[in-house]
Amino acid sequence: MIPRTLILTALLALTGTTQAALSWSSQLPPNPHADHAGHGGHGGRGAGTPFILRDGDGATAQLRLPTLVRRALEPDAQGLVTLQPSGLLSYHLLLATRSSPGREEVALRYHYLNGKPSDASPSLLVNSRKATLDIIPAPLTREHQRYQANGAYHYLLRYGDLPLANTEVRLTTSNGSVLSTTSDHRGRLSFTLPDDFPEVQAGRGANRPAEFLLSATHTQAGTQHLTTLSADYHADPAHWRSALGGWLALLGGFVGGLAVVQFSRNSSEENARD
Amino acid sequence: MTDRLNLSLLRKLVQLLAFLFLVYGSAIVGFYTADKISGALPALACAYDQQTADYCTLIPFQHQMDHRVGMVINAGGDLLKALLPSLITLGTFLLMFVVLNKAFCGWICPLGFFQEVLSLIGQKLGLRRIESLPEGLVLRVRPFKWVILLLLVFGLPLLAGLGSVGHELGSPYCSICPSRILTTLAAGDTSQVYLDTSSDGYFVLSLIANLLFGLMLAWGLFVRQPFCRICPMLALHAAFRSIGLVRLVKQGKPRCEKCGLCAKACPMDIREIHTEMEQRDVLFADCTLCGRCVEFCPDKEVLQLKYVTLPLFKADPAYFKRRKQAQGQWEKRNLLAWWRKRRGGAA
Ligand code: SF4
Ligand code: SF4
Ligand code: SF4
Repeated sequence: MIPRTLILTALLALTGTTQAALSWSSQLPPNPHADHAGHGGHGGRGAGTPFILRDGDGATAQLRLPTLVRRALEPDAQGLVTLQPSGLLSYHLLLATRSSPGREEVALRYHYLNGKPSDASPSLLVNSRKATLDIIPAPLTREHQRYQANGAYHYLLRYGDLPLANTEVRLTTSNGSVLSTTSDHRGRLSFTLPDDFPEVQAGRGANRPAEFLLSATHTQAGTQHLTTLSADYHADPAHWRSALGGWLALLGGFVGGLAVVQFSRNSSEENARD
Repeated sequence: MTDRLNLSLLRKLVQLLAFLFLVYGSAIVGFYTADKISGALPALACAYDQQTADYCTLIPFQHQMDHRVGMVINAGGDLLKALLPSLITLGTFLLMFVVLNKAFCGWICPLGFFQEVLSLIGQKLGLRRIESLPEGLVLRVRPFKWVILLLLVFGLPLLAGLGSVGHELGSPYCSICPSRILTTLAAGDTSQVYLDTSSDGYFVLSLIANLLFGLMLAWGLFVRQPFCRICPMLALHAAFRSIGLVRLVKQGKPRCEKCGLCAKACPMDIREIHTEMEQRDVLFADCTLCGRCVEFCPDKEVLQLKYVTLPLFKADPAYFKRRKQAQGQWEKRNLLAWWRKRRGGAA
């Protein structure tokens, strides 16, 4: 099984769409059904969840808990870190940073871990200061929802404490798509994730998730800021779900229900006559 | 209560506010799950509605049975640790449940309210309604809510976690729950109306979900609270109803025997509310604490809604008279009557 990070790197290299950038990537277990055990963005059970820090030479990595407590992460030589449950149920942030004269790079990835319910809202984590140039999910997907192809998702681009307007943000996917958009005057931007899974199988668990990466660059006061935000996304269930069939079944239930009422009324009237 | 405001009207207002809050309330309490009030609400507010302010307790139970308890039994881990999330969910449910008891059904549940709206539509269309279901049918239907609770909320998800049945049955109640379709549609999201062709199991579940919702729509126009009668939440409430602080009490009088207006008023066809003469506590398993039986009891203080020992609302002859009159006028006004009158006038 070829690690997906390699596929991503190879694809990006092939398409020549982006320069290598500090970013997080998930490394999925080889069994495609293993993903099925999770739901709606839940994860982090059992032996821990592996992530790869890509292009991470010289970077420092940390995990931010929902309460903003920080824990250092030590990627191995391949950039692999295995995320263990923190004890708190909610979104956590994988954060990697690297600074050099004239350049500040940040990689972000939010991940849902199981544990005890936490009082801290994910808004605390997403809005906390973690990078000069920040790509903020607005909002993160909620429980029982996850990123999926053909879904529209919104983000906020922030520089320092202020929204960053008119800045290009690129979206690349591990399935080879490249999109770009520009933040509006309030720093907001949206992407509709491409329906680019090469062979969609019927069923949520039958399709391994792919990965998308948002990247933004902004230069100010002689420093180039480069930030990436990555996440998994899934095949669009509309491939194996029929909305028309659903509405027809609903209509069938309604008509059948009316028929049952009429039938029971007729038979009770007949009984009354007898 | 004033002449205009009666308990039913007050209840409708509370239900409407609860519906708005539970279906669209993330705008108030915040978008994220952790912003929610509990995640274990004793009413069918749905987790699939991305705008909900809080969601029902049945979904965490199903997931915990499947992903925690079943899997840990299978893999041989620490069972007590695996049960802990379910105990936390149950504890949170009970903390809220104790405050309102079964009134979560009669006053808070979005699906309960929706069925009352359907009933209202049927009545206003002038449809020939079935005010009370035959006793035999009511008695035969009652066990279903327990079967659904034990099988679809706990049993099958546990078996799915153990690997004995397919993953389709990991959250089978949510797969057929009418509240999932109702609340997502109400939030402008049509994605929950579908037939899933990915496997036979998913196909059957999605087919049942849509048929059930369609049936509920049709029957709701003619029969009061059709889905409530088989709702697993009603069964869960019934199991813990003795700890709730809101009570329904009766002090039967000989006149009760010839009356029976309370049972006629009851949307759940609980005839025992009329026939029970010994027991003071008349909070039966199917009761939703809607209070209609108290409103339509013509005898002074025979039926009472109480908060522990504090009377909240008592049967009262003067109130009964006003209420009955108002109900009669309300029922007279419907589309069919208006149409007949118009045609009669034109002829
Ligand atoms: S589908 Fe029904 S049982 Fe499941 S979370 Fe929604 S309301 Fe609750
Ligand atoms: S019994 Fe009716 S009111 Fe109560 S939770 Fe179920 S659907 Fe809602
Ligand atoms: S017994 Fe009374 S309070 Fe309970 S559901 Fe029937 S009418 Fe409502």
